[in-house]
Amino acid sequence: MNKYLKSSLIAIGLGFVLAFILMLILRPTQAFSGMYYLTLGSFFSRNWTTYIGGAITKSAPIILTGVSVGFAFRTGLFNIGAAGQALVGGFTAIAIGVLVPMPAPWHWLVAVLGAVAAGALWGLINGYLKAQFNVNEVVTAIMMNYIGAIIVKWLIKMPGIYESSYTRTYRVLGTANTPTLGLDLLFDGSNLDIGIFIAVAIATLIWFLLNKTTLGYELKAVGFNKDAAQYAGIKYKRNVVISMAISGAIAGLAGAMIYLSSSNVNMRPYILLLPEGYDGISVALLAHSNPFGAILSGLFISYLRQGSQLLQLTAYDPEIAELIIAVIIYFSALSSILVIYFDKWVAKFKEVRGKLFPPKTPTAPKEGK
Amino acid sequence: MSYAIEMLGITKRFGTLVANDHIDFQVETGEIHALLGENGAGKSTLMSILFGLYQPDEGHIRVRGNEVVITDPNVANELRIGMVHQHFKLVDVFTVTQNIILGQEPTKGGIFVDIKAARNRVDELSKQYHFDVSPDALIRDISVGMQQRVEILKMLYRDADILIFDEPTAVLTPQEIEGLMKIIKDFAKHGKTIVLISHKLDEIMAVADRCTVLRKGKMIGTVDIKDTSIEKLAEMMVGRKVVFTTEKTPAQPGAELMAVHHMSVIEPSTKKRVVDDVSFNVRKGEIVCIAGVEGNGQSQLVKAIAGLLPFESGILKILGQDLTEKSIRDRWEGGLGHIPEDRQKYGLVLDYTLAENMVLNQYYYPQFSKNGMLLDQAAIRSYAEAKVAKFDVRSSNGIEATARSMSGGNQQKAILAREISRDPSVLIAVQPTRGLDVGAIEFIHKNLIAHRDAGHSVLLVSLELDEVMNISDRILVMYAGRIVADLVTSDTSVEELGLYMLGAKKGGVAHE
Amino acid sequence: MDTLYFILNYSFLTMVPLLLVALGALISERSGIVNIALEGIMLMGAFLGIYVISILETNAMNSQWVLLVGLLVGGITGAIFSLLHAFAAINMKSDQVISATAINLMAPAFAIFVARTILSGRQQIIFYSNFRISAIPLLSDIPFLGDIFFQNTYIAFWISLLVLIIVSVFLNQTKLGLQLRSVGENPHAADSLGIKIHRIRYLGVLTSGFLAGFGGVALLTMIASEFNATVSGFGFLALAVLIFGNWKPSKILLGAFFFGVLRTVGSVYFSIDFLEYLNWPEEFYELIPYVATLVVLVFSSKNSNAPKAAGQVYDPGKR
Repeated sequence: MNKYLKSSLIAIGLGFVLAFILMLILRPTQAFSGMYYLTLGSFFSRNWTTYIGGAITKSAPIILTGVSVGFAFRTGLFNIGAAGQALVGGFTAIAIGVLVPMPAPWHWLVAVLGAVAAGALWGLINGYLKAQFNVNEVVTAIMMNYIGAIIVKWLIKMPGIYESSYTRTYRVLGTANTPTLGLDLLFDGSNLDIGIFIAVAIATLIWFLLNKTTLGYELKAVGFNKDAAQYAGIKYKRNVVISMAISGAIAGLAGAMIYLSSSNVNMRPYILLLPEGYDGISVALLAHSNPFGAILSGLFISYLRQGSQLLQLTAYDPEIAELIIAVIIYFSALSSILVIYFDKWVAKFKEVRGKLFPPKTPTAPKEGK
Repeated sequence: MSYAIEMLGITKRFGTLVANDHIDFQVETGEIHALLGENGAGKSTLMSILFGLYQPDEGHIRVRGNEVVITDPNVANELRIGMVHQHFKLVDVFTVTQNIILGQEPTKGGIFVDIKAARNRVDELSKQYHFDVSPDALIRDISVGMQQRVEILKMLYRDADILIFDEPTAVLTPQEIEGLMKIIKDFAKHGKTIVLISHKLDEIMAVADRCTVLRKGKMIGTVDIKDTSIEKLAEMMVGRKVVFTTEKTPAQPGAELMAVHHMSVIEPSTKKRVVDDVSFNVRKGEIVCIAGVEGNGQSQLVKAIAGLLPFESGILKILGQDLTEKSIRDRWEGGLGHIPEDRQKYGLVLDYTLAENMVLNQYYYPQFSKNGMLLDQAAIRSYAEAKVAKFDVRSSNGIEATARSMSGGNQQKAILAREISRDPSVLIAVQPTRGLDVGAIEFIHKNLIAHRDAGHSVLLVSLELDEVMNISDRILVMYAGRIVADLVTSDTSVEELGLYMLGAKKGGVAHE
Repeated sequence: MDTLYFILNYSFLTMVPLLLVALGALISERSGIVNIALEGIMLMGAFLGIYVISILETNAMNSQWVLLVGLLVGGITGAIFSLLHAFAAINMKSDQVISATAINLMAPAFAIFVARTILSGRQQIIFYSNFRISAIPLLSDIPFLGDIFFQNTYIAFWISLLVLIIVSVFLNQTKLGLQLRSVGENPHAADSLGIKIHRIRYLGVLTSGFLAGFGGVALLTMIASEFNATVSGFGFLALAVLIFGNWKPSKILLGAFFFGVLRTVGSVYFSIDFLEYLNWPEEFYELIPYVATLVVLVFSSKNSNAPKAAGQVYDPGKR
C-alpha cells in the first residue's frame, strides 16, 4: 500500500481508538452508541439525504482550502493564510452578490471571479513579503488573517450590504447563488450544489499543474531546493509570488463556495478567523499535500463533523469531533515514523503469533499405535 | 609490544550496506598509524565507532589492554581518545575558548562558567605546543588552518593520549601540511599514539610508521611503511595496478571562448571584496585550472561567472557576447556549462527524480516541452535513459530513482552527464572529483579531456594539486582574490604552485 | 498626563505576556526547536489556570496566592502540553512547523471540549477576582516612577522581569546555557563533545511551554476578565517580538514593550482627545498591532541572529 495512504489510515485509526477510550472514560454506557453515531449514523438514519448531502456540501470549501494549502506545501511554502484569503474572497463574493445585480448565471460567475481575485491578492501579499524581504511566511500570514478579518469587519457595515436591524449582511441575490442543478432535490433536505464538482475540478487542475507543466516543474524546484532552482535559472522571487497567489486564489474560491451557497450564509460584524481556512491545513496534512487526497480527507472530515451532530442524541458533546480531528492531524504529523513503528509492531505481532500457534507441518505418519 | 587500540572483528551495517566487515585493526602505543582507503572504504566509520559516535554490530574493542564499550563520545573522552574531524565540528559564533571547553566547562559553583580559568588553560596549552591561537577570537573570523588547531586543542584540553586525525590535510596548503606533519611527529615523540586517516599516499609515506589498508569495508592488510612503496599501497587500496597520470594529447589552444575583464566580486555576508580585479581568458581546446587554497575567492569567481553572485564591476564575455548583465538562463544559452562545487545544494534537486534532474536547465526547451508550457515527459524520459546509459550513472531505480537516493559519485556523474551533453563552449567544473573514488575520478577526467578535444574548453577549479598538474593545460593561481600566476602546466611544479598559493611568490606569467 | 500614565501602565501590563512567551520561544529556538505552537499552549495553560483560579477564589484564600497558584498551574499545563510538540519534533523527527500547527489546532478543540464537559455545556469561565495591586507601600509615592510602576500593578509584571534576568544570565553565563546554545547552532559539534542533544532540546521546549502557559494566565488575568477559548494571537505576536528582538533578551524586552504600547493605543484611542477628534473607524486602531508587526518583520528579517540549526531535524548520520 502507498506509504502515505497507510500512514493516514493509521492516524485515523489511532484517532478513533483514542476517541473511543475517551468516550469510555466519560460515559461508559454510551460509548458504543457514541461511536456508532459518529461513524455510521449518518448513513443509516431516516434523513440520510440531508446528512450526507450536508456533509458533501460542507466538504467543498475545505477541499478547496486543503488543495490551496497542499499546493503551497508542494512548492515549499506554508500557506497558513488560507483563512484570511477565504474570508476576503467570501466578502468580495457577497459584495458583488448584493450590490451588483446581473442576470444568472453571470452574476454568480462574476461573484466567484471577484472572490478568486481577492484571495489571489491576499496571498500575493504574503508571497511578496517572503520573496522580497525573506519574512517568515507563517507569521505574516497570521497577521494578514487578522488584518483581513478586521478590514472585512469594517467593510461589512457599508451601506447597501448591511442589514443593521439584524446585524448581518443582506442575503445574496438569488442570481448569485451557486447553481444546484437539481442536486438539492436529489439529496432531499440539503443544500447540495455544484460546489463539490468545482472542488474536484480544481483539485484535478492543480494536480495537472504540478505534475505536467513547466510552471509546476519550476514551482516545485523552487520549493524543494531554492539554490538549485537559482542555479538552473529559475527565478525564485517570481515563483514564490506566483505560488502564493495561486494558493490564495483557490482559498478565495473556497470563500465564494461558502458564502454563495443557497443556504444563504451571512457575515456578521465580528472579527472572524474563518475556520474553513484552518480546516484546510488539517485536510492538507492528512492528505500529505496530494490534491486528490484532499478530496478524500475533506469528505472524511466533513462527514465526521456531520456524525458529531447526531451525538446530541447521546450525552456526549459534539465538540468531540473537533478533538478527534485534531488528534488525527497530530498523528498525521508524525506520519513517516508512525508507519515504521506500525510495520515493526505488525512484524512483532506476526512473530509472536507464529510462536504461540506454530503452523502445522506435515510429519511422518506415527509409528505404532 | 603493547597495543594502545585493538579493534577486533568489527562489523557495522547501515541498512544493506556493510560499512565495516569483520575488521581487525591494531595500533601500537606511541606509533603513527595510517588508515588508508578510498572514499567509502569504511575508514571514517571505523574511527567513528572508536570515538563512540556509532556502535558496532559485531566485534569488540580493547583500549590499553582493557576491554571497553564506547557508547558515546564522553566515554571516548574518558579513555583519553580524541578526534579531529574532517568536517570541523565548531560553533561559528562562539569563541575559540568556548569551543574548546564546551562539554567540559570549568565552573564556579557548578553552574556558572569560569571564563577566566578557561582562558588561562587555553593559553597554557596554546603556548605549550606553539599553536599561537587567540582565545577570544570568534571561529567564523579565523582561518581554516587556525580552526584546525582549535580542533586539536579540543583534544589536548581533554588530555587525549590517542589522537585520531580524519583527512586533516584536505584544506591546507603544502606549507601548512608540512607544519601539521611536524606537529604530529612531535606528538608521537611525546608518547602519544596517532591514527591518521588519509587517502594521500605521499603524506602517509612521509610521516607514518605503519599503515592499514581498507577496501570496500574489508581489511586488506597492515604494512610497515619502510618496507613498502606508494605503488604497492595504491594497489592494495584499489585492488589493481593504478595509473597515476592520465593520457592526454598536448593542448592546441585556438580562439578565445570566454574572457573575464577586471572582475570584482563582493561577498554579501561579509561585504569584503573577495575577487579583486581579475582578468583572464579561456581558449578553445584547452583546460584551464584555477588553483589555490580554499577561500581565496575561487568559488565566488565561479559563482559570479555562473550568475549566482553579482559582479561589483567587470565584464564577462562568452563567444564574443557580453553576458555581464544577463540572467543565469541567458548564460546557459550563451554557451556556459557549470558543474557546481556543492552538488547537493546547487547541482541537483534531491527530491526530484534522476530524469527530472537531467533536464534541470533545459526543461523548457522545445524538445522537452510543448509550447514551453506542457512537459513532454516521454521525451524527457528517453533523453534521460540515453544519458544514463552513456555515462554509466547508477541508481536504485533507474531514471525514476530520486537523486537523494543515489551515491555521491553517481550524483556527480549525473551532473557531469547533463552538463557535457549540452555541449557548452565553456564548461566550468568546480572540484568535480571531490569525495569520489579512483574509478570515478578516472572517468570524470577522461570526459573532461574529451570535451576539450571536441573543440570546447574547460575551466577547472581544484584543490587537489595532483589533479591540477595532471589534467590542466594552463594554471591560474588565485591568492587573496587576485590572480598571481598564469602558468603553462608543463613548465611548473607542485612546489612552485605551493609558493604562489601561499602568496610567497607573485607574478608568474605563461608565455603566450 | 493621566492618560499618559494610563497608557504607560497598561503598556507594561500588555508587555508581560509577550515578554514571557517570547523568552520561552527564545530558549526553545536557541536549543534548535522552533515552537510556533505557543498560541495553542498559551491557550491550554490559560484554560486550566483560569479554571483553577475560578475554583479557588470561592475559598477564602488571599487573592495574590490564588493568582500565583493559577499562574503555576498554567505553566505546568503548558509544559505538559508542549511535550506533544517536543515528542513529535525531537523523537519523531517531524517537521517542526507542521507538528506545531497540529498543536495549535488541537488546543482550542481540547479546551472547548473539556470546558463544555466539565462546565455542562458552557465554554466560558468567568473569574471575579481583581488581582490588581493598587499601591505598593512607600514605592508608590515616588513621583512619576511611582505612578507608572508601583501603582495598579500586578505581581506577574515583576515576575516577568525576574524571568528576563534569569534567562539572560542562564544563556550567557551558565554552563548549561552555553551547551544549550551550542545545540541550536551546531548540534553535530555538541554531539561530538558528548552533549545530550535530546535532553537539552526537551529542556528548551518544556521551558517554552511553561512560560507560554504562565503567560497565558497572566494575559487573561491582567487584560481580560473571562476565558473564551482564545488568546487573541498573542502567541504569534510573541514570535514577532522574538524576531524583532533579534534573539537577544534585552531587545526582546524593548520589542515586547513596543508592541504593548501599540496594542494599548489601539484599545484606548477614544480616551485620547486628539485621536477622538480624527474620528477614524475603530477598525483602524484594531489594525495597528498587526500592521505594525508586519512592518517590523520586514525590517528585522534581514540581519537575522537566528540560531543556525533552529528548525532543522537533527540527523546524526549526516556528516
